[in-house]
Formats: sequence, C-alpha cells, structure tokens
Amino acid sequence: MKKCALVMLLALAGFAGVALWLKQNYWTDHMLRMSGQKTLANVTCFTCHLVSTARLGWAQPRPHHDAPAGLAVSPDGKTLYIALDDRDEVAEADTVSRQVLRRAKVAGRPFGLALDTAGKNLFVTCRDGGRLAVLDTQSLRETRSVPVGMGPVAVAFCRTTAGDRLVVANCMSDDISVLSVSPLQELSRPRAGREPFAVAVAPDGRRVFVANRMVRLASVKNIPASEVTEIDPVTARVVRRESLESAHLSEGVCAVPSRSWMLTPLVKVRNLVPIVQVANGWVMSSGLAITDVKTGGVIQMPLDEANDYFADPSGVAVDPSGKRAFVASGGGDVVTVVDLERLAAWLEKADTTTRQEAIYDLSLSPEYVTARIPTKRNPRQLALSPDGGTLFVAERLQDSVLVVNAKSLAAQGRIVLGDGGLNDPIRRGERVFTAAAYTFQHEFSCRSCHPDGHVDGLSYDFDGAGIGDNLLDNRSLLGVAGTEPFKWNGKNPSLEVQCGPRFAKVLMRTESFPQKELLDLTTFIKSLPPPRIAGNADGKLTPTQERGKEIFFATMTTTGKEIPHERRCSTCHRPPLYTVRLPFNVGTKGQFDTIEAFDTPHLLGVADTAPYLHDGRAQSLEEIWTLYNTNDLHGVTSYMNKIQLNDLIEFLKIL
Amino acid sequence: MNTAIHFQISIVAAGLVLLIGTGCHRSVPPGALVLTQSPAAASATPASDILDSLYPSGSRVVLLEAPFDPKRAQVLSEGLAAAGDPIVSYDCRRVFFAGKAGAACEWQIYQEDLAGGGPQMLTSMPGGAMNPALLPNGNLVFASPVPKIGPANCPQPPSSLYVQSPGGHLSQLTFGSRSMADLTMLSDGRILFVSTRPPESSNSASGPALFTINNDGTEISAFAGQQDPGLRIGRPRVLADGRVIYLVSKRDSHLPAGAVESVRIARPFLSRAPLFANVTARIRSVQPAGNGDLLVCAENVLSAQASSPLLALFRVSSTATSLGAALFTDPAWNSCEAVELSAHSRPMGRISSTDLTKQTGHILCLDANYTRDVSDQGAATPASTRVRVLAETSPGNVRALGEVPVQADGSFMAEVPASLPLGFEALDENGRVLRREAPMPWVRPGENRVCIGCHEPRNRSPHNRRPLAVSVPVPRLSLTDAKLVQRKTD
Repeated sequence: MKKCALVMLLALAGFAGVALWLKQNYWTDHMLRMSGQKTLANVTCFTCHLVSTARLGWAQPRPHHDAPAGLAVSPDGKTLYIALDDRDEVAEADTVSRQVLRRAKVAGRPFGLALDTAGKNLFVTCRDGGRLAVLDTQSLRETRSVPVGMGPVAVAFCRTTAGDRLVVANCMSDDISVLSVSPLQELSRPRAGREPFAVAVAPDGRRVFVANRMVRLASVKNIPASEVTEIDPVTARVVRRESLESAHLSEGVCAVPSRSWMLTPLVKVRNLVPIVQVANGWVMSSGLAITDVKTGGVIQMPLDEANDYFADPSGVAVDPSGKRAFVASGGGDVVTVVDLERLAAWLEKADTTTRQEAIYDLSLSPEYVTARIPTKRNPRQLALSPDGGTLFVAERLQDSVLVVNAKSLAAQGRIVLGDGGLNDPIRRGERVFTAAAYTFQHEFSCRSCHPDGHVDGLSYDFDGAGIGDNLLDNRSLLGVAGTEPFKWNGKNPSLEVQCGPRFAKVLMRTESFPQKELLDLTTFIKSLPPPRIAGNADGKLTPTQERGKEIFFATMTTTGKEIPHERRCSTCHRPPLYTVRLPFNVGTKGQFDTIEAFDTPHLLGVADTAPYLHDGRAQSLEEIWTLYNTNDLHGVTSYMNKIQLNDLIEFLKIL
Repeated sequence: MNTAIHFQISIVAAGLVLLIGTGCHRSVPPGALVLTQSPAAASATPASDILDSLYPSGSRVVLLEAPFDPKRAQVLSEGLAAAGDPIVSYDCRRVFFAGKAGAACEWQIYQEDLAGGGPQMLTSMPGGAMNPALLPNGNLVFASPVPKIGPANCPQPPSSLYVQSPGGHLSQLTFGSRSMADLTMLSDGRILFVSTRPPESSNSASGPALFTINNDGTEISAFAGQQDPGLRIGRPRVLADGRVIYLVSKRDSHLPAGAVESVRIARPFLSRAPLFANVTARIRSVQPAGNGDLLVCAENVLSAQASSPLLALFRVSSTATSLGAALFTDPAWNSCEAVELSAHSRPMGRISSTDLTKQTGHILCLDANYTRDVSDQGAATPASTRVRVLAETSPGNVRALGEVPVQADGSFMAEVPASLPLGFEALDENGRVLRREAPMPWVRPGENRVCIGCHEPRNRSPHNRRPLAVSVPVPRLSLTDAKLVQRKTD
C-alpha cells in the first residue's frame, strides 16, 4: 500500500516537473511568440484554447415571458391590442374588464402595433422576422405579410391623398420602410438616422416623424446628435432631418393635436464632459424635444428635478385635446404628466436664449410637470384611448398593462399578462439592469448606456487617475459572456467585478448592487446573445465572404510574404469568440492614454457595434485599417487592395 | 410526540425570528416617542455653550408610550446631567443623543440600546460633540466642537463635521473657518448641514444656508436656503413629501426657536416658503413622523401659562396651517424635540471616491465666464483670462496658491492641496478681479471636483462639451509657493 502511494507520489512529481519544464521551455515561449508580448501574467492554455460557445449563457435556452411591447387601442376604445414579442404573440384585451380575451401567434417577435382608421386591420412589426404582418381584428388572425427592413420595431398608419400608408422604423438596418396599404407593398426604404425606433403622424397627416435611438456616427470628439427623420408619406421620401444635439435613446414620438408640435422623449447625454460626478445631471438627464412641425425648430425641455431624475424616458402619449402629455420613465418606474398649456405659456414668455438653455435648468420642470404616476417595473410603451379618458402603460418587466384614468390620474387596475417572471434569474437581472433606483439620485440605469444590452455608440470620458484623460468607447454587452477580462485595459476579471464595486464607484456613485441582485444582473448580461445584422439563410458564405474568410485566417500576404503570428487576424481574434482575451498593442495609444496594450474585443456581431477601437475613433470597420493601421500593428493589412479589404469586412459582418 | 415537539420549537423559533426581525428591539408599542424634556423652571447654571442653552441642566431624553402620560416617561439618559437632540437608528434598536455627564463635562454623543444597559458614550471630542446622525452603514456623523457662548469677538474654533465608525475610527469631513453643524441625512445619501455662505461680491453679505457633502466629505455643494444675514437657520429635516424644512430665528438668539420654512427638493433655490402660515407660537423643533405627519414642539399658547408658555408637543399633518391641541404636555417639563420610535428606511450608501494616499485633488471649471453676475450697467461681465486660486490655511489666513490660465472656452483646471478651503478670483487681462469666490469649497484627497461656472445659475447641468483645459498640462498648485493675500476672511 505504502509502495503504491510512493509510486503515485513520484508519478505526480514527475508529471509536475515535466509540466513545469514544458511551461518554461515551450508554453511560455509559445504564448510570447503567438502574442508578440513581453510578459503574460495570469495566462493559461484555456485563455486561448478549448473555448466553446456551447456552454455560454446566451447559447442556453431561456424562459420566455409575457412582456408587453407595443400597444394599440381600438377606435371605440373597448379593445387593447398588446404585442408580446417574447412570446411571438399578440394579445387582445377588454379595456373595461381588463381581461385578456384572445391571443394570436405571430412569428418573429411582434413588437410595434398600429390600427387602420376603421380598426379592422392590425399592423404588426416583427422585430426578428424583418416583416410587417397584418392581422384581421375580427378573427385575430394573420392575413398578410410583407418584408421590410431589419429589426422593424414601430409602425404608423396614415391617410394621404395618394392612399393609405404605413411607415415602419427598421432599427437594425437603420432605414424606414414606407408602404402602401392597398396593395400592401413597400414603396421605398429611405435611410433613417441610427436605430429608428418610433413613428408618429403629424397633426395634419402630411408628415410622418421617426425618432432615432442612437446618435449619428461622427468623430468621437464632436458633439453627438441623434436625428428625427421627417417623411412625406405620399412621395415616400425624407423631407427633413432634425438634429437633437447631445440627445439620444429616443424611443417614442407623438404629435400634439392642437399645436404644430411633435414630442420626442430623449436622454440628454454628457459624454464629452469628464465623468467625475453624477450630481447635477453630470452624466445624463431626461428631456422632451419639441419639434415645430412647420419650421423644424427643436427645443429641448427637462423632465428631471434638481435632486431627482426620471431615467430612460421611453413612450409618449398626448391626449386628444393636446393639453397633457404622458412620458414613461422606464428606469424610474413613473409616468410623468406634462401640462402642455403651462409648457406653451413658459415658452411664450422665454426669449430664444432661455429656450435654448432650458434643458440645462434642472429646476425648471415643476413649471409644467404636474404629476408623476407610479408604475410597476419598467414602463415603456403608452397608449391613450381615442377619447383620451384612459391611459394604458405597458409595464414591460412586470408582464402587465397599467390602466390609468387619464383625467384623475388614478390607477384603475391592471391587465395581467403573466406572473412577472420572478423565478427566472435572467428576468430578475433584467429588472436590475433597467432600474435607475441603484444610481445616485436615480439618474440612469445600466440600460441608459446599453439599450437592450447593446451600445449607445458613444465614447465617455471616465474618471481616471486625473481628469479628462480617459475617453473610452462604450462596448456592447451583447455576446460578452466568456470574453473576460473586461474594460479596455482588461483589469476586470469578471462581470461580477465589472458590474459590482467598479460600476458603483465610478458610475453609480452609490454602494454596489446587493450580492443577489449583482448575480442576477450578470446572469442577465451573460444571457444576451451577440447581435446579428447580417447572415445567410442557408448558412453558406457568399464568394465575397469566402474570400474575406481566407484573408482573416491568412498566414501569408498575397505576395507570398509570411505574416508574423502576432499580426494575423486570427491570432488575437481566435474563433469561436474571435478573441483570445489578452491585451495587445495595435498602435492606437492616444495622447492621454497611460497604456498601449488594450483588451481584444470579441467580434461576434462586430458590424453592429460602431464606433471602433478603444476610444471610438474609427467610425466604421473600414476606418480601422484605412485610417488607424498605418503601421500594420493592427494586423498586416497594408498589402490589401480595396476589394480585399471589402471582402474582409464582409466576412466580419457575419460573425 | 416528536412531531409535536418539533412543531412547538418551530413556533417558538418563528416567534423569535419575528420578534427580532420586525419592528423595534424592545417591545415598544406603535406610536412610541423619544422626547427631549427640559425643566420648566429656569436653570440656575449659566450656559457656557449653545447646547447648555438648548438643554439646560436637568434636560433629559425620555421614552414615551401611548397614551402619553407624563408619569410613564422612561428616562433614557439616566445618570447624565443633561441630554437632548435624539435620533433613532434605522433598525429602531438604539437611540443616539448628545449628553453631558456632569456640569463641568463636555457634551458628547451617547447611545442607548433600547434593550437596556444605560447610556454609552461614543465620542470623546475635545470641545464636545453634537448633532448626531447615522450613515446608512451605521457610522456616526456629528458636529464638533460645540460652539461656546461668549462675546462676539471672542475667537473660537468653528464646528466641523466628523464621521466615526463603530470601531472608533474618526475622520473629519468638513474644513475651514465657517461653522458647519445641524446635520441630517438626505435619502440620496448626502449629508445636509447648515453653514454660512460666503458673500459673492463686495456689496453682499454672507448669510446662513444649507449645504451638502457626500459621506466622505467630497462634493461640498450649496443646497438651498440662502437666508438673510440677520437670521440663523437650524435643524433641517427631510419630509416624505419632498420638502426640506428648517427653523428660522434671529441670529442673536441662542435658541433655534421661531418660524419654520420649507424648500422643495425639486427646486430648492426657488421654493422657499413658510411651513405653518397661521402659527404665531415660537416653534422649537419639527420632526417628520412615519405617516407623513409632523411632530412639532412649540409654545403652548393655549395653556394656562399664556404669559410664559411651556413648550408642548403637537402632532399635525404636513399640510396643516395651525397646530391645534397639544398631543402631550407636562407642567414640569418643556417638550423640546420628539422623534417617533419606528424603523425607517436607510438612505442610499456610497463607495468613497477618495484616495487617502494622496494629498491633493483636482479642480476643473468648465467655464469661468459662465455666471449669473452682471456688471453695474447690466451687461455681462468681461471674460476672464486667468484664475487665482486661494486657500485658507488657517482661520483668517488666506494665501494665493497661484494663477492658472483660462482656456478659450472658459475652462481651467488645477491640482490643489486637499482638505483646505479654496477660493477663486477670476481675473481679466489686466489682473483686475472680475468675480471672487471666498474660500469655502475643498477637495478631498484624490477627489476630482468640477463646477460648471463661476457664480453660475443654480441647479444647472453642464453642456456636453469637451473642456479645453483637460487637453493641456495641469498646473500643480501647492502651499510651498503660496503667498499671503489676506488676513481676514469674509
């Protein structure tokens, strides 16, 4: 027995010795040779090898919930239609009994809803299906369908002199589908801003306004601006593009019937100002853009208060008299009530400068905000009954619709769609993700910078050792499971660290999430799959993509010269995550950067995560190599011609 | 048999859990109050500091249970010569108050565990300690020293705020020659306190105001209540309806008794209003109670002793305009302050952003020319080209740390010594002072402090512009090169 143990011990010692020798004489050399770096701390074989996506959170099946998305009220006010995108269903509810009467299956994540004037046809945008479905409201069955752009999330119906029209916001392909109703066909698909997310018809019916959720791509040091795109539904063309300066995440738009106004909730962002505090709206605040339909002029008005914020404004509704507007605060769990007459009176008295400066005055909103209606978790979309008497609030993460008397502002009850999903850690985590309650004065939630877990397309100046030396591109959370470490300097080894004390100290300016909530939050983040904006239905690569793939995995240039290991695309961006999770110097160290090696981002869904590089200096994938890789440190690309670079990018788009 | 025993054990355990986990530690019935009482008879001992005048010898902190019978008051400050200014811990298990062990002793903060055990002294501050408040993590915040009563020209150290951990570790939170006291907690985790605002120009006077700091002393900011110089304010409290109330009295009064004003947290600089429109009685204290009511200690003008009325306790709604009938009165005692004995929600916590290994911090102003000031002619003041940074090195001694350039966009930045009151003078190209901010704000070690402008309009958020000052080398200002510029502060 003792002899056996001794043999085992010797064998183990021998194995350890061999492993140590291999590490010193082969593995370390291998790692250094492959990465081209001088030191590699805390690196193991598993950093680069034996990585599988199959076990990642986003690859696992997850529970589905009855989360309400778009709402539409029938012309008689008796029926509410509710899109349930996570269930692939549309529900029909009785507004008096507040009971769900019927549910219809609609494939492709039904999200946005609109009714025709008679209420006979319900138009449904299918976010994942890239199509617009038409449901007959009598039978609640799908009767027709037509392809539109990618990620259609909102639709508006309007009557024009040329016939009935539908305008659809396609948030993933950044365009707008204008369709005729009879026959149901797409007339044109003009470019929108970035992530068009809401559509509304102007009071006179001659224009349709589309709110865009993300800022336009521009130089990282420019003042960002998102866009309200104005469409002529008759000609199906864009007639005006209004800029919302330093504003983004607009998820709603609504006309004010008695005035020539369009209202767009917005997040007023301060990404260029060093983030050294949260107080005084230093990072962001909430507002309401008033677009003058006649002149196109825009005034931004604050919705927050001096010491309290109502984060993530989303849906907006205006009563038929045009006297009151309702704005849902998805992060603050309230619906803000705006007295439009008082707002108009204030605007009338204010001079031009005062109006332009209004959004910066955090003590202004009590002039026109008359109430805050409390809701349950994550109010997003709003709808008013045609007579303006009842307000419906989609409580997205509560699986319910709050019914409010729009006159008295008293809650009348709820249309219960599901159980809220509190047994599901992913759902619980999404509740944490979308709640501003954890942030100082409730200024923002995780979602305020990561709408739907993705990016807002901005670079933020974080509080580093000093001030103003740390402009960093905001990275998508989609598909981040397994891609640790995090932060551009790679200092955070896990999401728990990244989202825990670090987030609390640098951003929330409060104490960290409680441990249970933190665990739920990271479970939710890990469940977010990479974005998919391009792909081939048959799973096969196009010839262009095939050529791009060859370039990506190339070991030699087209002239036959060997590409050093550390400068091959696939060395650092190794499948299946397309990252080896190590920092590399790709020659992008900026004037104020204190390090020169930055974390290697994964490339899953990379085409949808612009801008690029650690400080967001590259507005497109092309710019990474055409403008910022003049020394071939970010892969040897100088040998490529335009076609080869295009091929490479076409391949990257399908990752 | 076993099942029955297990069941009984479970019931007992569940009962214990309920007893421990809910409500107060001691079996205190709902509606119980902690009350400060001072003897109705005038004290023979002269007051040497402001707490002596607020809580004369014999003052005590008692527990009152409903129905409120003077004979049933349980003394919590047993053995102390005087006590007052009580607060209740968030879990409702302990009461903290200022107390004095003997006539010649200094005021310190005491804790009384409601489970019993008698008052336990928590602080031992030279000059005494007052105004206890609790951070959400249980750390004790208080003001020290207790201001002495004496001739106006008699110099005395100003009160500052301190935080003390349960282990006794002490840190100073506020700095400078201005007294900072009368603190309470805001729900967002900031500490709200009373101090004196420096004058903004040569022809303006300084007056009392409300300020906030974070729990590590960072981000000192004006909050509200820019009062007239002839008045003093005290005892701010936060109401559930989104208002902050405070007592207003004449400056020469040692007692903070008088009227009550409120400001709305939503727009604190634009909402100053009286709390009780129809109350003429002098009010000694107002404390929010659990259901939105207010506990008010005020002169009982309806009592028989109308010529020299005792202080009685009233309970009114937060929208009341008059006090009505007293809830509790005791002919032998004044009712000075009442606090409801109930568990209440903790404010938001905060992870400190300071770096105590450093001795400096940074200041960044986004636009030194953004101001609400106008010149005598009503036109905007000329643009500044430099800013002189001042530091108050000791009470009354102000030194110029140096001058830093103002960038074309009005921004400037500097690295400055930590924990010293800083002042700023915006200079034009000829060196003329355009605007002056007397030393008051400070940075804590490692703090990066920002402001939008110089005397900028209140409650403004910044424009989204990248300040030019962050792209140039940061001037480092130190006391080594500082020059004495003034011997007398404003």
